[in-house]
Amino acid sequence: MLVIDDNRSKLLKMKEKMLEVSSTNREEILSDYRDLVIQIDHEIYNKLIAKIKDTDYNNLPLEEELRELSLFEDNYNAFDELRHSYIQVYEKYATDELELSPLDNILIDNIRKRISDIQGYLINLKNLESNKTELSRLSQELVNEDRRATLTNDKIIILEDELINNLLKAEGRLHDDKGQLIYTSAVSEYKQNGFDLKELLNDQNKLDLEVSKAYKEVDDSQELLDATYICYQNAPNEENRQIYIKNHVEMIVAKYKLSLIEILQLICDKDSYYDLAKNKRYHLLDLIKERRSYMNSLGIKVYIDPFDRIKIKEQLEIINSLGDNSAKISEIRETISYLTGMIEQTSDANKELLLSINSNLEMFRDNTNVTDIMNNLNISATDEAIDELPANKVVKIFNPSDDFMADRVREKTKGVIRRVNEMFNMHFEEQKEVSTEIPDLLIENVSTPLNDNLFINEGENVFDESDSYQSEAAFPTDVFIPEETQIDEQVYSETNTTDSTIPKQVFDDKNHNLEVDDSSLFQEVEPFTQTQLFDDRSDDGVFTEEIKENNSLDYTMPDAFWTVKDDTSNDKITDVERTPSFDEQINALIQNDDYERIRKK
Amino acid sequence: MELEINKIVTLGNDEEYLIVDKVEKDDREYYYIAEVNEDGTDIKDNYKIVCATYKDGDVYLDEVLGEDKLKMILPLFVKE
Repeated sequence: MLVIDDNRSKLLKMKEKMLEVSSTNREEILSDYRDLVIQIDHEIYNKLIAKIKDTDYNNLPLEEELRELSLFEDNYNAFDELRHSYIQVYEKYATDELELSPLDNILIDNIRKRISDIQGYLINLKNLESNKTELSRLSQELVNEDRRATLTNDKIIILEDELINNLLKAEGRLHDDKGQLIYTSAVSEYKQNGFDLKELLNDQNKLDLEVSKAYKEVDDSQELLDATYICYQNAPNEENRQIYIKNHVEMIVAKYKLSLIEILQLICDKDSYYDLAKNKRYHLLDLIKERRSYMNSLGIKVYIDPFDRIKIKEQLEIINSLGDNSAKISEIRETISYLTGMIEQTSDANKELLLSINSNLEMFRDNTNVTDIMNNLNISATDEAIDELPANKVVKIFNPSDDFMADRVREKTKGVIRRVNEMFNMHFEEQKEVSTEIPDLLIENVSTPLNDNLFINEGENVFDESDSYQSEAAFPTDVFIPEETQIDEQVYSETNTTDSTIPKQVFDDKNHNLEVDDSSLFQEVEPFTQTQLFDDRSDDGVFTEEIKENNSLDYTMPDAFWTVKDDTSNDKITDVERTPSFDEQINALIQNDDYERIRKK
Repeated sequence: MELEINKIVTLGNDEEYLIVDKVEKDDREYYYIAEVNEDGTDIKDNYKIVCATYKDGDVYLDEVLGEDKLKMILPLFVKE
């Protein structure tokens, strides 16, 4: 969970308290508060971002990913609340807003959606499993119930057959007029009433016909009775009374016969279904009761009713004991249907959820750009500072504008380069000449014979002309002074000015080094006058004129490579006497047998 | 675009130079350049001899300094 270390937490609380109680130094305290809050905010924000970036959510099992994301959401919410609390405190005392990290870069809605999708998916998976398990159980139960129902039906069919058999075998006793018991049976009873029981049991059509006949007879006899009754009502005489009684008896007989044939019809109507079979027997019992009633009305006294031998009641008990599982079967089927629908619905939902889960929703908005990369020193692999563009790097090449006076510029620059080259060469020549003067050379008397340092051995000190103008070489103590050291007075006078177009050579007193100021050849050029820039040798006269006019060393002639350390008390330029070459000096010494060391001062 | 005479180059320090001339010596390219004014209509009086080096697709112009080098290169511009 989100944790801010104790120290900073305490510090924040302290700052908050100070803000409350102190009105002095409030700005400072507020500034400290802001800095600390921003620090904490950035840290936590970066941790959250890092968590998203570093966690490979796609490769985690969904349960684990859900845990991670839920934890992230909790942290996000806590962080959001924390920020609000900071903002509330800050805005009490500040006029500006607290600029915290762009929390909306974390696409929390997407994260929440993903959490919801995964949760839904996992719940659906559980439900699917549960439903499928239940479905499987119910399916098995249905099979069992169906089997039971089948067994029941089979038993009922057996009972149905028994019913018929029992009817055929049914025997009983009747009381005759004398009170004697006489044998009777269902067969004989049907026969006495005009029905061939066996025949009718095997001929459904005939049975149906008899049933129709019986109904008709009842109807007819009822009509006749009604008519007779009316007659009797109208003429209540004995004759009518007798007719009425007779018709009444006939009607009862008709109904008795009807009950018999209905019983038979019912018994023949086999039904394997539990309800039907049960209802049938109840109906049979009713019909048998009716029959008995009619038999009583007709004066037939039953001692042992053969129809009791059909054992309808016993069969009812059996049927009741079998039980009816049809309702249960219906319920199971209903439940199975419901579960099947749920499973299908859940599977479809999960397919969609899975598509959403696999679609890799973005969890954060990455706004990193080149400027961020350039400004973010943490991103660079090394500690090297991101440098500015090198000054000498060509960053752009383009054509000059139409306003650019290209021709004029070319002429100008041509003149410049030519002049510079001339001056450059001139000064190098002058340097060669002037370098013969080594004002700091001292001649010491060194009375040591065979001194190798006296450069007698010419082989060691061969003068290399190409090295004579090495600007950075120490002026060798043992160098041979070039023989051609004649200084051209004119050149000297012309060049001994402060024109900086030629690198300066300063004669270093200490070590006789000629130091050359190697900085830009052109950089320190005094602006050329207009006449100087163009390639017009006649302009040379201008220089002379200027020298005369200005009479100053500061006009536009290039400096010499050296400054003449001469008597310049009045800045006058004096001639420099030619000193003997080194060879000449040495030879002179040898001739004088006086070895002298020439060394640096 | 390549370095060519009469083109203007902008350097990393934002200075702009006109390429006045070019010579080659010992497989190296030398340019005589003149700084362009802010308006881009004329040059200032600031001239350089530079040597072009190429690295990682970029071009760098290093000023030629030193007597020996200048002695070697300057005349090439004048002759040409």
